[in-house]
Amino acid sequence: MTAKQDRDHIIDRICFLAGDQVGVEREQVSLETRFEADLEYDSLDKVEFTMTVEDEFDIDFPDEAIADVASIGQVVDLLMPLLEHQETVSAQ
Amino acid sequence: MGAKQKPVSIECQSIVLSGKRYAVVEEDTLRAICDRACVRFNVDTPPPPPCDVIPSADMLDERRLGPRIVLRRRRAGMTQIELARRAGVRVETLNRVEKGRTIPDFATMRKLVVAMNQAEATIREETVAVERIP
Repeated sequence: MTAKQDRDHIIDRICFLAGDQVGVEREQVSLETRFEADLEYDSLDKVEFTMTVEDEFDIDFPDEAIADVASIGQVVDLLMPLLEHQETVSAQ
Repeated sequence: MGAKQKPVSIECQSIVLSGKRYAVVEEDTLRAICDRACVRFNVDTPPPPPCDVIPSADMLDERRLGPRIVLRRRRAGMTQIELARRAGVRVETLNRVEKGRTIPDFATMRKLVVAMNQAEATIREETVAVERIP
């Protein structure tokens, strides 16, 4: 799988999980989708979604960083370096 | 006299607000019950906020969040004191959250969710264990 395919797959999963948290279809969610304005997330939804993503990708988001994200794209931007770091560590 | 309708059972959660116990039923379920009972279903639209204040996203979050935390906590079989202790937050803070008076920061909310998830997992394990007893 290429790096782009990897990224596309990750985006697809994040979009699915974000929509699934509030019963929204995957097709309605994109990188531009905002948690509060578009998906009507409250604080509980955001924490539960965060923990679901952490479980799925076996990573830990720093609270202070994830607390400020407002859109799916920002989550992906935060997730990608963590996954790259994880790959580097496991390759060593 | 028409044929007697077969009784159906519904599941719902309950919450206590201002000392009164309320059953929380999905609107579709209540609508179906009203249909069966030939009762007109009217949704009460909440009155507009005073002083023409349009609620901000935070205000809406506070109002919705409190009852959701109460439901989750009860599903996890915990009192406010137990949840506060397990999550390592002040019971006063949890009380304010549940009453919709404050929104906890992300880290505090995460502690609450982790504690509730653990308690729910324990209940599930105990239920499975009981079901396995011949």
